[in-house]
Amino acid sequence: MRALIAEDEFLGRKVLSAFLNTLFEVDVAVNGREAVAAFDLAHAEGKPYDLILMDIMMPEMDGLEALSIIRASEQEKKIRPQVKVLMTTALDDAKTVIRSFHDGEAAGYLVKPVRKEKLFAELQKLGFVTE
Amino acid sequence: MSDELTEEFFAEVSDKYYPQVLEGLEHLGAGDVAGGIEILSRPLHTIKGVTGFMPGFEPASTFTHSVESFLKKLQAGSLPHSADNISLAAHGVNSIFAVIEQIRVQGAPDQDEMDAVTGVLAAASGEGGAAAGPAGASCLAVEQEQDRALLRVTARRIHRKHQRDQIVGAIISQPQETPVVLDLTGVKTFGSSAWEDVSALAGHWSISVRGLTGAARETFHAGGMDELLAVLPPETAPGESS
Repeated sequence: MRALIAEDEFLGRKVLSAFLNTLFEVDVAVNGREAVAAFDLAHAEGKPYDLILMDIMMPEMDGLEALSIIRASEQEKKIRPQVKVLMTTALDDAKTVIRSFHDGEAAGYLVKPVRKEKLFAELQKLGFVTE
Repeated sequence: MSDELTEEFFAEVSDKYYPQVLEGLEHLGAGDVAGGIEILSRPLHTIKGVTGFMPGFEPASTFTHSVESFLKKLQAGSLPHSADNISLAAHGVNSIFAVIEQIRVQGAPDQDEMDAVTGVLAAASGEGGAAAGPAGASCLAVEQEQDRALLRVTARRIHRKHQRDQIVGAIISQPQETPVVLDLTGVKTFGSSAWEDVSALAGHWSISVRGLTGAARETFHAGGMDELLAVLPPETAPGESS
């Protein structure tokens, strides 16, 4: 399985990679623009991501905009199933939470700091881990 | 934050998700199952996700997930697009709004009602038939009264063919001049196929229904049964004035 971590902070990338690398082949992107490029490249390679951890506040392109482009691309190319996206962010205001689920069709929402237990509980809900 | 989220969420529910859901249910009701589920998927996914993030509303998230799973099976074609299944899907979707409202108003959902809906969805999905009772189990008791036959339905859910056969068998075993009362007190759901079976006998036997509640009443009226079957007031307990 492949996962992409979109996160602008070095330590955040390092911690999330450490959490995921026993389960996934992990790539990292440092902003939303790179995340979209990585998503496209993975599809071009025929090895799409199973999971994306998407930060929201990132330079150049934020996570919600990147997710919106990814969903539009999936829609246009009729890609099914959609990639499962967990938002990993310091933002927990109501509008951002709702927008993530409704507009971005996020599969889950984790408020930073992301704890391994919470992350794995989400992965369990999504069927990536069984216990 | 949770108060702000709750307030924002319910504003979105009434302004956006509920109208979307009504539109989706209209498509479902009109036979456009794929289109209906496509319309339903976005608001239901949002309700599942956001309630999972709202303290106290987590049961609504789990419940919505079970309804969503049922819809996905219908969408994938792994469940037939039968009238019963469409009716169950619509009932499940409507129940989501009841659950989130119960949590908002009472602080907790009606667990029995929620379990009943998930049970019947699971049974219809072939994930165990406990909710509808084992095949062959009796689902009704027949009481011969002086001037009528009283058929008390004892199962909480009537969807399976063997249950429908029992009810039909009990009706047709009555002399045609004997009025039949179908008592559904305590019955949570009564499938549209079961209503169709009963209504097919309505021209030959005088059949009345009493004790209609919840989803059983919804499918009764949705199927136009009120034009074929009389509805009697609920049974009055001895000594109780009506």
